[in-house]
Amino acid sequence: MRKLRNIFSIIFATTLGLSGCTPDYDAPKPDESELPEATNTIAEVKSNFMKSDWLVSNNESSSRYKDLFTVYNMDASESVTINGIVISTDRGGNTYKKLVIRDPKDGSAIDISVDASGVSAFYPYGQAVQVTCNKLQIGKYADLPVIGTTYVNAEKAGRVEVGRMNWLSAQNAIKSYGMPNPELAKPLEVTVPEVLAGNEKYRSQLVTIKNVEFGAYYQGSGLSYFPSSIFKLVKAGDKIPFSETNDLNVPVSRGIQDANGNIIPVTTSSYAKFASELLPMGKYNVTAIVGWYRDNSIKEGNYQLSVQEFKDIVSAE
Amino acid sequence: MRLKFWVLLFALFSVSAFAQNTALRGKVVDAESGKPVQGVAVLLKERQVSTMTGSNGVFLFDQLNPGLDMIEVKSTDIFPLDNNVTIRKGKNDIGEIKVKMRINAGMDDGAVFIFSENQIDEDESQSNTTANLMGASDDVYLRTSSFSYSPMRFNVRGYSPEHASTYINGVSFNDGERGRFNYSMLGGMNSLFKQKDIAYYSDASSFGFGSIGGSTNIMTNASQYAPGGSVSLAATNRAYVLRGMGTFSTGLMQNGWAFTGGLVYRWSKEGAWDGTFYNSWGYFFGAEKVFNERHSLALTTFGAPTQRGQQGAVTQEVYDLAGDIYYNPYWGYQNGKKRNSRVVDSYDPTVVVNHTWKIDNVTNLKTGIGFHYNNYSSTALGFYNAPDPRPDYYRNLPSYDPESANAELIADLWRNNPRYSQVDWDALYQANYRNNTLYPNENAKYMVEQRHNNLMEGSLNSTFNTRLTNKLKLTIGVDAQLTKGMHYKTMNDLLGGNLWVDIDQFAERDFPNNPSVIQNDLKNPNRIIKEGDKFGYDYDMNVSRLSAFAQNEWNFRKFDLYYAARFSYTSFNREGHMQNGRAPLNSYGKSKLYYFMDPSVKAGATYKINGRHWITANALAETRAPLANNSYVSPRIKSTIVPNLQQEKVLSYDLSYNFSFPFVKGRVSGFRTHILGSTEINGYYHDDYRTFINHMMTDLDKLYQGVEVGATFKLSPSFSLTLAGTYADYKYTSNALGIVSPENGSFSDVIEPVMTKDLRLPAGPQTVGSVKLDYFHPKMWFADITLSYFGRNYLDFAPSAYVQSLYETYTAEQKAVLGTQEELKDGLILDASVGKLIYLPMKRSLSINLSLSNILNNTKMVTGGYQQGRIDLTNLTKFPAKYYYAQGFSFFLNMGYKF
Repeated sequence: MRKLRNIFSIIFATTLGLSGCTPDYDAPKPDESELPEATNTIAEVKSNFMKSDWLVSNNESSSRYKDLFTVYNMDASESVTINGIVISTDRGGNTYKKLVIRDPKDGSAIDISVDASGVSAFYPYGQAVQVTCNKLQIGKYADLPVIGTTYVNAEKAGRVEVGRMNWLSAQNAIKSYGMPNPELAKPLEVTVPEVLAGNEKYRSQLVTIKNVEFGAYYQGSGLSYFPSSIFKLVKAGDKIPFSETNDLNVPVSRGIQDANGNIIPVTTSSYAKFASELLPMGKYNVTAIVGWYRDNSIKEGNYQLSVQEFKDIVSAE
Repeated sequence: MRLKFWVLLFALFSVSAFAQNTALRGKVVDAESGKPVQGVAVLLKERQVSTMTGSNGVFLFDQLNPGLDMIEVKSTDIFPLDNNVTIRKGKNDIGEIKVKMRINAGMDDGAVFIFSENQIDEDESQSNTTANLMGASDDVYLRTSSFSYSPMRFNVRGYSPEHASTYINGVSFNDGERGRFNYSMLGGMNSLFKQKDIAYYSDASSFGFGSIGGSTNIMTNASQYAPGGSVSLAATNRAYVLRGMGTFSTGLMQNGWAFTGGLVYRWSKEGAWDGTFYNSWGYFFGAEKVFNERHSLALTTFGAPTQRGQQGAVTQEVYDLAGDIYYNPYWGYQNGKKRNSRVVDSYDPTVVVNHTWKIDNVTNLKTGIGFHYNNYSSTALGFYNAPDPRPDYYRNLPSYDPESANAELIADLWRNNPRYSQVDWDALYQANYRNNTLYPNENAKYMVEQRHNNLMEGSLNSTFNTRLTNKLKLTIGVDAQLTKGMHYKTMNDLLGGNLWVDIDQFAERDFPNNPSVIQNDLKNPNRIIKEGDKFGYDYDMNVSRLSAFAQNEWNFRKFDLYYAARFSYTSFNREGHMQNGRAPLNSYGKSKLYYFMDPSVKAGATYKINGRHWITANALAETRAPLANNSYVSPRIKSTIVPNLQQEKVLSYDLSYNFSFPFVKGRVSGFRTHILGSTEINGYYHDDYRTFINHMMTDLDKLYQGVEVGATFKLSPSFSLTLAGTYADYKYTSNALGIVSPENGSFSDVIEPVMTKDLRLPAGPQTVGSVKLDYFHPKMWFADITLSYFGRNYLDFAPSAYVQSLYETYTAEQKAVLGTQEELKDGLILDASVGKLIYLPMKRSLSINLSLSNILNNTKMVTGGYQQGRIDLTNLTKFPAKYYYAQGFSFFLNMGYKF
């Protein structure tokens, strides 16, 4: 009987010893790393690489797309890095599969196109990031500089353009440092004429435009898009949503007008959480990312504001 | 009219007559040690009566007819023996029958158990039926299939587990909701669960009506275990790496009490598949009091608290990138430690109480109640407005955009950096920390949810056996079962996040302006969820079953005959504890009660050409109530029942030629089973609709037919050769009615035919053959080597690829890729084992056994998997099939000590 007890106690002891090995995990500590120095600014990368030496495609076969859709390699022999503070967020559903960063040094900004929804989970508003450019491409998409990857657009007759980079390459190239700080991502305060002045300074920038009123574009009795000549301010009784939820995938343009009658379109995706909110009456301060879109060399391009979240529209009264 | 039929039927079964007493007694002992051997089946072949030896090795037949017979003894523990016997009028005592112990039997089934568990573990829906027939030692074919075929997910006759009945001490343990026996509840304590009474296929049994896939009664009465103890230690490289086990039995003591206890522990830090682990306890306690010759009461309780990491099927591209069939997408590093995102926690504590009443020498009444509470949960990653965290998500693979400038870079990252090829836990935590910094009162980005599928069940069985004449046995049984299946999920780990909000994040995009439709519980809108809280869904399935059966078994000199009938009543409903925003009027509270009444009849006959060969035929016809588990369209969301909910109609028949000559014994059978009106559930995540889609199929007709052969040739006293195999055909014989139901409500349920006719059932290999050479040395050495062939194994198809509107408009190319069921690669697997039993003084013994599986390390054998439910008509290979591979070489080394 004693022998039996011994045997059982040995089995117990060994098994108890082993059962101590149940997996147990410590939570990782919050990232406290600091943004290292970058080799270049965003402005430098744009000017250094968007040159013929690095050209992959300028869609020479189509005059329509030439110089508006371009792709350049950034495969320099030495490491090329840029720093940025994320000024975009996809929380509102209007910014989709991209992030926009602003250089903390010179304030230059650029879109980064990423093939994943919810990228703000990794790169939220106010996040300091460093982008290693070497294995990425840069180029113009409808005349707006974008970092991404080469993409052959079958729907546009094989147009070679800068497209969304795979989520794995994005994670590999874009590293976050520390926790996000919204203070670093404050919008620039600008006026409508400053944006429309045509220089590229405000493209991809987060801006606040104060004391503007909302309106929509009308064609005959229906709503339409552009030009400013058909723009009318919202009046009492109008029930115009920011976007139309029944026509998915097509962004809808409304607009804002300042006290001097200067108008700029405000474009909203039907996937935006505020797509069905109605255009408000009265004066507002509007914070948005400045977009630029020109896909045809014989036509003019358009500036268009993209409001990221409904809370970025604040009453000015 | 119905009533009259049943009265008549029972009258038919109750033919009574008077019996005279001629008895035969004997004792089975181990030839080497002289110890009594309990649990051995003893059979009088001419008279077709059988009994079991008790813990003292003694068996007794009474109410016999005098005359010649052949007595056969058999069990998993011994080499079977047969001998002629003359039964004279009055009492006969044939003394001791000395048998040779078979050590590898007991240990082999340890090895088999691991395979079976693997299969249960990996995917509950993919478990197979061979486990049910484990211990079927005296049927050459079934023994071979349970030992050698289970690694390939072989299913005997292609039947799914709900077509096999498992009882513990006569109490039915097929659960009421899914219709299956939960093998993992036994905790791998094989030596205590190996005493079984098995009825093959639809054959008659003394404990229940049974099923087409066979009936097994696991017997755990404490007095049935031989006194003594055992300890064993096993090392392996499969799901676990170490097993320690100890058992002790008192046997039936002078005071009428018997006790048996056991403890087992199985463990691995990492199993054969990357990132899996295994941590499992098992306990067993049995007590029995034999009050007198007539009454005994037994209590058995056991359970196996188990935690283990799961393994997932992936596409061939992923296996190729990983360069390894042991790749597992579920794990990743957290702080340098491997963490599995799919952890199963299971514990199914069980209590069975049995009363045995020997009313007279030929009559007994066995009554049992069973209760078990299965706690089963498995974890999974969840995410909200964040990139899909699964490393094998199709957009994260090089094939997603092979033309891309970065395809090679992606392949490189995937091959060389576990941050990308596995779950990147550290990054998920950082995403949550960043989210906390900006939005401390909002939804976390990533979390681990725990999906619970609990089950509480109570069963009552009572079986009355009597011998009405020396030619006729009567068995009557009643069976009642109440089941509550409880389904909900809880927050397991917020991964550093602050909270979760109980809405369907996938519905949010489709209903941006409808705050109520996205609610998982309208009674608690936008509820804040912390770790441990219930959320998502919470519903019960309530099932009641009641049945009664009666059976007659006739034994004549040339003929045996049995027939049996059962009547069952089943009812079920769903009870929702949350009011879902996608089905506000159809989710909360008790749903309508559905009930079914099912008759079953079966019969069989044996024609004895002589004692050496005989022919048997069996047939079974029944209807079966649909399983509650298969009857609701989207049970997590609502109480909607599948259209055309109906009973399954089963018709099954087989014909066998059996032979038992001194140099060869075995069986050749042909079988055919029709199952009409069956229902199946399928589900998959659809990334475009961003929702889980349930795709039910009903009105399915299936055919199972084939031949099976098993024969053992005694080549010499030491060598025997076993040939076994089956050639079968398991297929759908009708198209199905399909119902597509998205859980986020992004579109209404769609009803459309699914073109299933002539598709194969994903029931494992349909051609199997094996050759086994056994060696036995009188100095108690054992060895065997088995070569098995597996072929005609078909991949599970996705109903979404076979819906009528698509299927009928497929181009030739689309049909070839999407509308053609894949036949998996066939191949050979070589197994061997060697064992030695050493007798020590004082009736103790030591055994060592080593089994080697897949010795040639064939890593090309796909055991199963599935066609993906998502399809893309423009890029046909965008969502390729996912596979599970059979493990390559593995071993199982066991050392046991008995005292």
